[in-house]
Amino acid sequence: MQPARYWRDNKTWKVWVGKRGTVVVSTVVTVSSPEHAAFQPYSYVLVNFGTQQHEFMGSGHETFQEGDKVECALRKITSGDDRSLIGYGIKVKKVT
Amino acid sequence: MTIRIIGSAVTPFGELWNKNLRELLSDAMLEAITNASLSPTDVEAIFVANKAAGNFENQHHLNALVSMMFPHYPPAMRVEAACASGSMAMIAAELALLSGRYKTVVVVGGEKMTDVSAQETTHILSGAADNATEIGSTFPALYALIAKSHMNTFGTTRDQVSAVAVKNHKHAMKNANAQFHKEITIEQVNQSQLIADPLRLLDCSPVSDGAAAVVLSTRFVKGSTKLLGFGHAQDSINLSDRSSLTTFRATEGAMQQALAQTGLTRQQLQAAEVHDCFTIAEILAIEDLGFFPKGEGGRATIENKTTVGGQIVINPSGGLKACGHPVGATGVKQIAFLNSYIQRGDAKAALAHNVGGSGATAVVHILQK
Repeated sequence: MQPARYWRDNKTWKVWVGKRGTVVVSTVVTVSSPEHAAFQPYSYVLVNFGTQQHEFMGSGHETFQEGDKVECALRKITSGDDRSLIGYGIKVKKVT
Repeated sequence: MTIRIIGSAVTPFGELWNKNLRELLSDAMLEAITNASLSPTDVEAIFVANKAAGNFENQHHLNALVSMMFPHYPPAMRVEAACASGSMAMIAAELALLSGRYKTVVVVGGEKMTDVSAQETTHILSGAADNATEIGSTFPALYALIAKSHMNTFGTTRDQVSAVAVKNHKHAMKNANAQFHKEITIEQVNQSQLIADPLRLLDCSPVSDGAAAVVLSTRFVKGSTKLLGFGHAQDSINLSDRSSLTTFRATEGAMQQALAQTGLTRQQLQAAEVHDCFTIAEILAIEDLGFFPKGEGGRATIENKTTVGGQIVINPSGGLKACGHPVGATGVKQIAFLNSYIQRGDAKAALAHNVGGSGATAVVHILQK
């Protein structure tokens, strides 16, 4: 993750954290890019927030079904070696 | 003004450890130029299609690299539009010919993908998605969302989706340049490794090396294939902003433009090379191109309506799935393959359909004897 991009992207977090929506469709990724490999298998979901849709990674190894209620949360989204930046970003988790 | 395909060539597709990108591009161009009975100095300009040589082997500036292969250093430009790079380079060449600037040009597409790991390839290819709003996506994941939506909406079955792979592997048996010469069964597809639910390994086109080239000219050459027309349309790069996950609007738009330009009907087309980067993509393609009603593409495939003896032969080359998918080459290979197909009398009119990303870019070409 590039530090300058990370600095730009984190300004959008406040728009999403806590926002709730409904899963439109989801899949489970078992082969990913190297920066996301530590999270495999992870869900990738399309979420409807009423006036807009957005795509997110699922939190942890949670799986989702169409119609599940989800909430946006700040989570690790990339992994690297011990010296690299730990990437945070928005994922979704089920509303319990 | 009529544009004709006066020469074409496709290199073998596959894991070609003994060839680098420049050799693949050179092999394809020289064979196409020889096939056209021209000499290299007859080429007035070159259009080069490539997606990611900068990522795969740190080689940018491909236009200069390719121009250098000719003694007179003709003008050259590189075109990139993800998996639709090849057909977009075709359009750039066609517009240049139609403008009258050139009379004879070469379009070449190529990709060298197998020198890096599968994970690295996944990362490089994911650059065709929206990297701001599709974080964590992979192309199998995006097409998996599309597959699930199609299954949920139309009741498309696992076996119907697998039938696309089975049929394309069967077609590839007759294509000497295809990456795979092995027939597979529906059961083998259904039981292959899960990549992104519901898509499995044998639903996915392979990682490939290869190149293809065509020589286009506005000069009359008796018996040559005519490029009757093309269409090009766009949609949102991400899935979130699409109005539908079960239809590629860009494909519909490109098809409408191409048919309007040529004056042909779908019934006059005997074959089509369509963009089957994943099995579900072929089902969407044959529906969005209007060959089958929406939701009927899977059933048509499993009922053998898309193979020889059916309604239309879809992907006679084996498609991306079995012929291979060296990304930058694919759109050019579709045209080169169909030119040979038409020249040997297997069809009078045929269509090529090339998609970029998860449906954001679509190009349709129609060819006729």
